[in-house]
Amino acid sequence: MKRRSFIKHAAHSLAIPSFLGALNNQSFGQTIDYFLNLANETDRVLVLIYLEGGNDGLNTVIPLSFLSELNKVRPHVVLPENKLLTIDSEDFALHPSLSGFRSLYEEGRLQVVHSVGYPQQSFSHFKSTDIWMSGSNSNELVPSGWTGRYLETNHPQFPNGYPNPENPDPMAVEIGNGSSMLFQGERANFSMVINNPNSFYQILNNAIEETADTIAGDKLRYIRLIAQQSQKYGMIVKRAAEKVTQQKIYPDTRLGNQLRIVSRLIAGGLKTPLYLVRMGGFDTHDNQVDGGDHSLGNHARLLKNLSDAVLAFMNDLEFQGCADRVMGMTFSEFGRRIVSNASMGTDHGSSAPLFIFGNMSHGGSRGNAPIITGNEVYRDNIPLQHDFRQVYTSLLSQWLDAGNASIQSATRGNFEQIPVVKNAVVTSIERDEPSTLKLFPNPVRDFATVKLDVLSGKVRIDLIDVRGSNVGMVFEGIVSERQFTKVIDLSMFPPGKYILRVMDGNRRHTLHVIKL
Amino acid sequence: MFPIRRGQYRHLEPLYREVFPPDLTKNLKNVKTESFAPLSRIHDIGEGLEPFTGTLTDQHLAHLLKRTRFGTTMKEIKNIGNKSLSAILDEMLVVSLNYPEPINNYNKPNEGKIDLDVPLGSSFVNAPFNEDFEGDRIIALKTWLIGRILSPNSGLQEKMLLFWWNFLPIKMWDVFVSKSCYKYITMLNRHVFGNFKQLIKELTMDPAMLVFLSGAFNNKNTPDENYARELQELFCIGKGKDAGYQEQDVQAAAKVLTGWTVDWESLHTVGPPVSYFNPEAHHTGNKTFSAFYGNKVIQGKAGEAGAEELDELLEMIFATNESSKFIARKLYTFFVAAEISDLAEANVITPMAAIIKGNNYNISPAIRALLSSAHFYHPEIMGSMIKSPMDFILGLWRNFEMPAAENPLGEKDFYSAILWNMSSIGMEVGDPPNVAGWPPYYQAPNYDKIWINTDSITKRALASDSMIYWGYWISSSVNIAANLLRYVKGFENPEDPNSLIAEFVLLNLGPSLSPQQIEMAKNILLNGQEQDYYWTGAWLTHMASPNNQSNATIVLNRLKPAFQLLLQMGESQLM
Repeated sequence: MKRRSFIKHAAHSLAIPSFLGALNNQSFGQTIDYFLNLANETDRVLVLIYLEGGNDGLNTVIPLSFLSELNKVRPHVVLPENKLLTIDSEDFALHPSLSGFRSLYEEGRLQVVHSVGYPQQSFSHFKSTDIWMSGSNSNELVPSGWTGRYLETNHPQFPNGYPNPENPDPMAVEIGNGSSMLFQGERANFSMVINNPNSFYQILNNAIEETADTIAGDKLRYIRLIAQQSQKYGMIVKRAAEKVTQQKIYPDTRLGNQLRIVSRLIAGGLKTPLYLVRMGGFDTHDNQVDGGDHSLGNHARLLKNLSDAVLAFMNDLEFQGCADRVMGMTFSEFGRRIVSNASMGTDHGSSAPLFIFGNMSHGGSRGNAPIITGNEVYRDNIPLQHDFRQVYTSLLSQWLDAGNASIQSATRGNFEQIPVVKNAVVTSIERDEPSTLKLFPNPVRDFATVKLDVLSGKVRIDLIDVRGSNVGMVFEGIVSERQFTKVIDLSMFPPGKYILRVMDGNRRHTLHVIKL
Repeated sequence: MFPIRRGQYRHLEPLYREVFPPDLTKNLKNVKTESFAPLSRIHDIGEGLEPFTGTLTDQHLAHLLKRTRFGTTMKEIKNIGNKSLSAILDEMLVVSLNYPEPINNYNKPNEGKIDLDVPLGSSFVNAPFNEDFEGDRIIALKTWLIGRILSPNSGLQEKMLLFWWNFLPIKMWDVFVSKSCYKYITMLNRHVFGNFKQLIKELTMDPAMLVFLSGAFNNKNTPDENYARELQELFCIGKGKDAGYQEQDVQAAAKVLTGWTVDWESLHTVGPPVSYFNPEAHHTGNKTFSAFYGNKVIQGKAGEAGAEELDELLEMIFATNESSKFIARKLYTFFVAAEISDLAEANVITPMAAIIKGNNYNISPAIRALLSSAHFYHPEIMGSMIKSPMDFILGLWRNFEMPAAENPLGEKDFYSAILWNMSSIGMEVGDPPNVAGWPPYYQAPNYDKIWINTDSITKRALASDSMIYWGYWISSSVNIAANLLRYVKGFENPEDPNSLIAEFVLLNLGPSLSPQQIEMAKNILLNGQEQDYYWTGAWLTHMASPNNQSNATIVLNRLKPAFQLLLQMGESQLM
């Protein structure tokens, strides 16, 4: 049976993660309290991994129900069935290279979101990258990035007066050539760019790149040294990195080296919420697979690099003790065609699966593995199930606790959320029937009505603030009727966001409340 | 009519100056220089003033243009591309003086500020001194100078004007009389490629200089040696090892110069500022000089004849071997490299000095020889000078063909932001920090490295970023950015990412880049892809339908960060 989500998303999700898949056996009460506290005490990080070139979704997450159809329409690249990494009770399998991802999935630390894209797919790398980075519609020209606008809403003055005591650290860090559009706001760029892993270690060692033994080289060395010293965030990054003296082993790959730095900065206490790393080579028009064995070849190597680097990153974060506050997301400008080409490759396509990972990842899969009929022709593409801005909205809201204004500024619209974070707003402990807990009006000024179908007789209602502290019991008593209705008085609580927790015997129901 | 002394109106400066330039030399001691090898390589350059005989590549042409103008453009390189060096220099060494005079573009009617002496749009260079408007006029003059450099006809004469200003400076804010400043500029203009001796003579009698180095107040009863000292120490002889003038020579020269003063009334009435010789104030005794000048005695003369002593003084100074070497060194440090090696002294300075002396201090033959020499085109020399703030900001402005003011009335508002931007990184047009000029041109051992500190490097990066990315704010409401599409269209092969980067580097960066650096920029143009055709396709798609916004944006979204990256490389600070 497919795992389903039983999460109810209030309009103003507070992004309180509830429990870890790995901690399922722990008492629910302990976990929720732990995470209610965690939500405020720690600083959340989102790491975006850009897979440059358009990753072939159909060879990454393979719909098991349509293997013969796949064999028919993409004979040049289709993966051998016996090598696929299957997952119990799922109707899709992962590419043989993604063993790390499979174990994360099985631990509930990796979520597969099927068929993510946008309407009116652009097949241009450039245009489609811009759309993903800017969070725009296909027919729009937006020169700023979605995360850039998110940051700009919260920091309209940046970079004037930054860094400051409230915001001592870079707003965003990206490793790669120059600054991407992602962190461009409408007026400023929010990222500190580390051009390559080498330049990071140069900052760390107060070293500068070798220059030629010429007059110009001598001047250049001086300019580079001064430029390094002038980098406002250079010292901050250096200090954070210096706190971390030991890291787990990473694969020596472009992505591995980048994630190693990201982990080090997070573990070193940098409060930077957003990171962008990238790996290239996904534009597999030719020789995507090895002629002799389709489970080998370029794409297999790329996915192995991805999976290995992410797994190493997760292990290291665990070792550093900060795994619970990091989430990652992979994305690529598009997936590839359903029908393969004769050069053992695939051409530019549309929707594709993306991965969200982290201890707090909701886990499981969202949506359905794509349907393949076997009659597809070259121009056919995989239909869209999730708009990419739904994923952005969900991460901003549930993970970064972003307010509506900054979410709307980032996504330039209203997009329905999907559950991406293990969430406190689980409406039934059985996890197979939705909770009947209702509260109205909400937002509430003084009095509100609580409605709930109760099983046991003993009901207790508490109000919990965003720190996770119980600020007051609003009701306790024995209820005889199955339909419990109670008017509660919240007039004594200061305005703000709360969680209403209703204990029905051992069953716990929670709901977000906004107190005016 | 009252005299106007140097710095008398300093209290008014803050009303007009938006930025006081930082003292670049202040924290120099904190900068560790010992970790940097002395410029040993400069001492190995054996090539001298003999003509460069190699092939003139685009690299050589760009080098010549960048050093003799403020930045350069592809168009300028193409214009001279098929000419001989001699023909190129023929064109460069022509003076064109047809700039319209600076005008009243500074009235602020909404603040009730209207210059009644000068109608809007009319020249103020003959207007009577008016302390309420001199600050406005000075800024109008400074922005007028920027406008000259950004005008299509700008060339070597603008660079030479800076050369002379840096070498024989006044500070406009200290002089404060705008028409005196303007007269000083016209005097430098007339002699940009002219006769050094004649220039020094006119400088000595210049109303602005007479105030700036207080020659106007040097008289037989209360001598003022200020100008007499700088005339020798900073203008004509220098402090080289063979510069043997004595304190006695300063005093004697000061006596020769007594009597030269400003007609103060000419400042306060309509008409150009006037200086004259006042025999009443002249020291009529004999002036005896040291052995350095061959124990020369200038016979004291009474009456109007006293003025002739100046000619005799200049003849004496220019008869030494030092004067021609001194001006040769000045030209070398400005155009070639801040530090002069022993080999350069022997192989460049000495023969240049001989040319200067042989041409009776006409300097254009020496400039021609220098700019066509094997030394000037030595690979170690090309791309090894740190750009001054004017080279950097105005160079980028010209390179990107950023807009210019539509007409002189708009000049002041249009160019003020550029003026203060350059000021904030250490170079205010018309106001070097002191009488020796801007320290990066003379201060050992750091020289042009002095331009770069943690503050200035950040502001330089912000300026280049603004031009290509965010738009450069020229006022609180107007923001202009480079038209990168038009700019790149002027390139040889914009559809080829390798050629595109190479041309950008040629125009804007000093030394060539490493393959890794080029790869980084290319990676942005190719969106992380490996095949060049992704850029080629995007560019050609844009060119096929230039009015399609979407295609244009795709190209722009790659060009901007690629150029941003290149301009943030240290190499972009060099020329």
